[in-house]
Amino acid sequence: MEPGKKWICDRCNVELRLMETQFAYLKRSFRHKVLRCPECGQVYIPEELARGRVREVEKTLEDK
Amino acid sequence: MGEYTDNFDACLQKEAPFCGAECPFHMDVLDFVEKTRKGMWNAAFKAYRNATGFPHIASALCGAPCKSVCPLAARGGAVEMPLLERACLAFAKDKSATAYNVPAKPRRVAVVGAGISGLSCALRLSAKKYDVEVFARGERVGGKLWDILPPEIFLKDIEEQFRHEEYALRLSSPVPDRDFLNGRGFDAVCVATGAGGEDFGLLRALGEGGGPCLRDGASAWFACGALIGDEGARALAGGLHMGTVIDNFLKTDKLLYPPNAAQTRMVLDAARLTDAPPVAPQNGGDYAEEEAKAEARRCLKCQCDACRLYVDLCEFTGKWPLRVRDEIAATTLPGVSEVKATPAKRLLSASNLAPVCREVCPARIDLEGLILEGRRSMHRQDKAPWAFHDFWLRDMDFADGPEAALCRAPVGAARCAHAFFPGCRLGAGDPRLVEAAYAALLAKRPDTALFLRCCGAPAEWAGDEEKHAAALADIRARWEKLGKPVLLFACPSCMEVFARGIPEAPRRSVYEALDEWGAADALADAAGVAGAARESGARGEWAVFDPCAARRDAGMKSAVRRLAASAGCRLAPLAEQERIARCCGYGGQPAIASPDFAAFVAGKRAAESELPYIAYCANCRDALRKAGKECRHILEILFDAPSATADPRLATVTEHRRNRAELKRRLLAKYWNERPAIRDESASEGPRLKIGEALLAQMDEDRILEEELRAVVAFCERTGRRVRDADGDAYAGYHRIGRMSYWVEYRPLEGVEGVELLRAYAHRMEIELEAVWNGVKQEADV
Repeated sequence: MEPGKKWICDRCNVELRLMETQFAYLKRSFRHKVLRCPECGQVYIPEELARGRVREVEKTLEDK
Repeated sequence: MGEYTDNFDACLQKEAPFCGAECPFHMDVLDFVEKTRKGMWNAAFKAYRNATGFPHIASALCGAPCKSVCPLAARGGAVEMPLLERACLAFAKDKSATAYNVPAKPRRVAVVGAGISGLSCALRLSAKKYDVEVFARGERVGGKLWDILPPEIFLKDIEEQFRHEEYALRLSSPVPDRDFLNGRGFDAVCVATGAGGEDFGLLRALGEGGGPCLRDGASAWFACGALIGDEGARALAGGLHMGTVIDNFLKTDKLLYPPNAAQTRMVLDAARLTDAPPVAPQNGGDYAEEEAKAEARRCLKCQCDACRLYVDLCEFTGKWPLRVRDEIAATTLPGVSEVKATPAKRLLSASNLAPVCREVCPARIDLEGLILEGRRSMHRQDKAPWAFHDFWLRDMDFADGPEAALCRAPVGAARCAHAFFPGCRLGAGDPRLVEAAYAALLAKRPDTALFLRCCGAPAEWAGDEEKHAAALADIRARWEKLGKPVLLFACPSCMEVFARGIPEAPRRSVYEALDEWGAADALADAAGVAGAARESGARGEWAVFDPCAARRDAGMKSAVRRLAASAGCRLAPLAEQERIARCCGYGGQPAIASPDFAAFVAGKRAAESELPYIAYCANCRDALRKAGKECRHILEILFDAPSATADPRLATVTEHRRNRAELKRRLLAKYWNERPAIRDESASEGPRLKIGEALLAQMDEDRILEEELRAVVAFCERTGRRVRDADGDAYAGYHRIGRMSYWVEYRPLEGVEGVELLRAYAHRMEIELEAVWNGVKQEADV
């Protein structure tokens, strides 16, 4: 995601905001703020986040 | 698990080297030599002093029994340990005795005799802060040392080593009998009265505690030194040993006097022996510093390390099998990771399973068996991270599913003598090879059945016993229905899985069949490869890469070589791989748990020769080619025109599936005249995707299938669950398929149906309760 690039929920026509989101992996749940639609909750995880922090957390949990 | 871990007790990793076992001081020679190599003279001196008690005396007395057992003695010459010891005495700057800060112990020990044995026993015990009293018959200490060494050497050494120790020395105090000391409250007595000295009945007391020792009232009596036949350095070492024996007695009250001897089960890889002669001192006497370092470098540092040399996992992780065992044992122990360590969770899946350890280990330790059992244990406990094997298990399901699996006897053949089992990877990578090989087999044996499916290896490697058993049961039933034919395998790994899982099914490699039936020529003829191209050596020089699963199959190995030669290849040996067939990096499927490990292994195998390889396992071919090695499958060699020199691009994971479905369609049409409506993967759900080369390669690397992304785009389009780029015309969205979350970023194509894929990626973690979050919305609102 290029910095400053705006993403809009296609259904609600609302700009995404950083909001708490719950994730689960390997029987563990945790929360993190990611972009999502304040109306319907649609989540957006940009590629950089998926390949970066998300991958790191996955790796940590796999080793636990 | 126990059946595997017990075996590790025989591990020789911690066995003493030959020299250390022979040394009366049992010196840690590996440590000493390492320090000497580096010129760490103070540290080397300390190691030597700690082992010998009186380093100058020991150096002067030592007859170097180590040299007689040094494996280099029979080659270039034994390592010159005496000269190395003298070098560290000469070059160490700090040779002062060490003061040990240990609390005083209230037990009393008498030492009878102030010769080298008595003194060394007194030194050990006084350093441990026992209350030690030495009774000397004469007016001086040293005993026999006065006859064999210059007093300036030994008196100085004795004085220095006792510098920080307190003990009572009673000169001119002969001990007439046991009662003399028994009345004085000693807990233990060391008798070191020298050759022919008073033994206080100890020499007749052999047996009770092993060596010459007895209990008399409240005290225990032990004999050592020249009195029991130890001379020179052995007398000194015997006194130190006595100190340890008495210390143990005082701690445990058990009369135990084992001999001062060590045995070793050391096994040394003969390949490590060299013929380099010992470094000769330039000045004729002692080493200069550099000479000593050079001689220390000549030491082989004998240690049983076949595993470290040959087992990829040990080399890659730097871990010995004992450590791996401990980590696996801890990880597979029942219990959650919050309350216990799980150090091997990744390691279990980040390893290959070729049984190399068992093959190279003198103790036949089955490290790979333990790893597989560990995977099973983790799977049973539902503790294995699913992501490590999920992709291949899904791939296996596809290969066994209606789109790709096919088990048929030829038209008109009720029972078949043979069935071709090419394995799912060969057809996935190169369907025409399966088609050509089957055609060649049918030309010679028209009753050969075709058996397309996965062998079940991914389930076995994932530790999923249930899935593996189900696969085997299905295979067995189909094999029986075909009339229990001889199975002809193209992949040795499938063959190995069958050998373990369905041992009653007769097995052969397809290469032996092609070779023996003369089918290879038919194959080449069918492919239109001209006879001239098959002339000896016309295709240049190659090395055959034997897969790990073929290591015991001489018939398969030689058939492949004959086929390659008959196709015009000149073959050069691949010595190490032929000796110990190691994994290409694919076996056990470590590539998701540790891509680095898989790449490390493949890179090592690829580097074993400059020559291009001929593989006969589809997995080896793919793994080696991925590592940048020119590598052909033997069927490519037989089937392709020799002019096709460039390595074709490897099929992507998407193509793997399409190829399997295509292969089934083609063969069904060709041999059974059937054109069933098998679901065509490329016509499955979702709009057409336009994907650039770079993204295609990235998807392959990430193991993301095009069909999965089409399903995601279709989901986004259908549900409107997608986000839009405010400035552009791109959409992004995700969908969970199986256990993975797949993301796409795409743009509708102008004027035509379909979308252009801009990005594709996936993650393993799940986005939970997407519609219900953080109190903003309740389930009822959605």
